[in-house]
Amino acid sequence: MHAVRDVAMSRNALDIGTVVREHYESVYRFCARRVGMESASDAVQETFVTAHNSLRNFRGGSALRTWLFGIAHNHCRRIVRDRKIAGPTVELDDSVGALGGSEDALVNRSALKDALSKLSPEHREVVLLHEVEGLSYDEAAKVLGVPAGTVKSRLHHAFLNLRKTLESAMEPHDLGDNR
Amino acid sequence: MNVREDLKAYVDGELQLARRREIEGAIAADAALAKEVSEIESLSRAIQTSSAKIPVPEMPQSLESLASRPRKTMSPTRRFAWLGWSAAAIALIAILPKLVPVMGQDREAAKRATAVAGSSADSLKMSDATASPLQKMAAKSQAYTGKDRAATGAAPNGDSMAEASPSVSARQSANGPSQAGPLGQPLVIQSATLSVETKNVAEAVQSATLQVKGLGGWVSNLQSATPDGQSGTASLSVRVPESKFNDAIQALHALGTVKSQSMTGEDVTTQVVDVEARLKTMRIEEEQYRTILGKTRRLGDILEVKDRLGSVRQEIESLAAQQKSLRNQANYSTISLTLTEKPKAGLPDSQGDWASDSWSSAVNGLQTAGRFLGAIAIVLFVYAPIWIPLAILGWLAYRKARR
Repeated sequence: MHAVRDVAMSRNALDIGTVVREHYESVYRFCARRVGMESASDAVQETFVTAHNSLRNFRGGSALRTWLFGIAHNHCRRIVRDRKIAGPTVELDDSVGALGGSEDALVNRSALKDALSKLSPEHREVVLLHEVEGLSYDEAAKVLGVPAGTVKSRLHHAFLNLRKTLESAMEPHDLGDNR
Repeated sequence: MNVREDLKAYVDGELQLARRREIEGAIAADAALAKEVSEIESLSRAIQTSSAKIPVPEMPQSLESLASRPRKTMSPTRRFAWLGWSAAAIALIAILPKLVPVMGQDREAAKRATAVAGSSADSLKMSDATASPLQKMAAKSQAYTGKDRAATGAAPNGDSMAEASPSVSARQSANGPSQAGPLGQPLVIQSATLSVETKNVAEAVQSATLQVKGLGGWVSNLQSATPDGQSGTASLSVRVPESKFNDAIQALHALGTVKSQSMTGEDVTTQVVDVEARLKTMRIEEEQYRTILGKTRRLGDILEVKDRLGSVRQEIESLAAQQKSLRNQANYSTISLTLTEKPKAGLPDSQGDWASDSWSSAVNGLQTAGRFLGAIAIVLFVYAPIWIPLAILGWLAYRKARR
C-alpha cells in the first residue's frame, strides 16, 4: 500500500505548469501543421486544458510528448472538421538549399511540395508525424490511435506514391534534356 | 511479406532483427532493391531537412496562468476513496440475494413415485334397504294390477314380486377367495417397491421400459431428475401382467445393485366377490323396476319408479367401476422402481479415505463458490437498471465537487 501511495504522490508532482513550459513549442508546431497558424492557438489552448484535467490519468505508458500529441491530434481533427480546414500540410522551407546531392536524387523541392500535397490526409499525417515531428512508429501509432503496423503500411504507401509522383514529374525533364 | 513493403521500415530502423537481416540479404542480392532503398533515404532526408520551421508565438496569457496555477493534489485518502465505495457496493450486492430471494431454492431430489399398490376398496355392506321400497311398489303394483284385472279382465302377467327382495345368496354362498378368479384362483393385488443403484440412470430407465413392454406391461408414471453436479435419480411406476410379476422383478434386479425391496400381496377376492354379488343383485333389481314401470299406469307411480330406477342405475355403474378397478389391479401388478446413480467423482463418498474426502470437499467448495459468484453476477445483471444510474450520478457528482 505504501508503494502505491508513493507512485501516486510522484505522479502528483507532474504539474501542468512544467508540462506547458516544456512542451508548448512542440505542441504549437504540431497544431500549426494541422490547422494552420490562425487556429493553432485555439488548438494549443484546448490541448493543455485537456491535459490539465487529465493529467492524473497519465500512467506513463508513453512519453509525455506523445500523450500530448495524442490530445492535440484529437482537438485538431475536431477543428478541421468544424472549421472545414484543409487538413495537415507539410510545408517546405524555401530558404533551404538544393535537395539531395547524388545524381540519382529525384528530389526537387517544388515537385516534392506538389507530391506531398497530392498525398491523402492519412498518408500526409504519418509523414508529418514520423519525418517532421520525429516520432517512432509506435509513438505515431499511439497518437493516431491505430496499430503500429498501420503506421508502417501507411508510410510505405505514402513514400511509394511520393516516388511515383516525383518520377512522373521528372520524366518530361528527362525527355527534354535528351533532345 | 513482400520485401519492398518493408523497405521504408528498414530505412527507419523499425524492423525486428531477423527481418532486418532478411531485408539486408535481399538488398545485397538485388541492385534494384538497393536503388529503391537509396531513393527512400533521399526522400526521407529531403522531407526532414526541408520542412519549414514554424515560428512559435509567445505563450498567451491564458496558458501563462495555467502554467503558473498550482495543481491540486489529491490526498491519498481521497484518491483511493473509490476503493472503499467499490467494496461497499460489492458487500451490498453480496447481501442482496439473502434479502431478496431471487435465486431459486435448491431443488429437492427427484420425487419418488409413491406406490400405487394397495387397494382402497371399502368393504361393501349389503343392505336390504332397497327391498322395502321395492316390496311396497310391488304391493302397489299388485293391488293396481288386481284392480285393473277386475276392471279390464286382462290376465295377469304372472310376474311375482315375491322374489323382489334382493338375493344375497350369491354373496352368502361365496366361501373364501378361491372362487373369484376365472379359474377359481384367488385375486391378489401384487405390488412391489424396488430401489436399484445403477451406473447410468437414463440408460436404466430405457432398459426398464423395454423390459416391461416386452413382458406385456407399461410404464404408468416416470419422474427423473439430474441436479447439477449430483447423481441422477428416477422413479418409475410400472404395471405388468400378474403372471409376469416375478419375471419383471428379476428383470429390474438386473439393472444394477438392489438397495431395497419390498413386496405385498393383497387378497381382494372377498371384495371382488362382494362387489360382483351386489352388482348382480342391483341388475336384477333394475330389471324388476323396469318390469314395474311397464305395468304402472298411474303417473305418480311412474315417476317414483323412474326415480328408483335412476338410483339403482347409478349404484350399478359405481359397483361396475369398483369391480373393474379391483380386477385391473389384480390382473396387472404394480412395481414402484427407484433408480439412483452411483456417486460421481467429486461427490463426497462416505466410505472413502480422508484424502478423497478432502478432495471431494474441496471440489464441492469450489463448485459452491462458483455458484455463489454466478449468483452475484446474475443479481448484478438483474439490478443493473438500479445501480448503474446511481453509480453514474455519484461519479458525476464527485467530479463536479472535485472541480
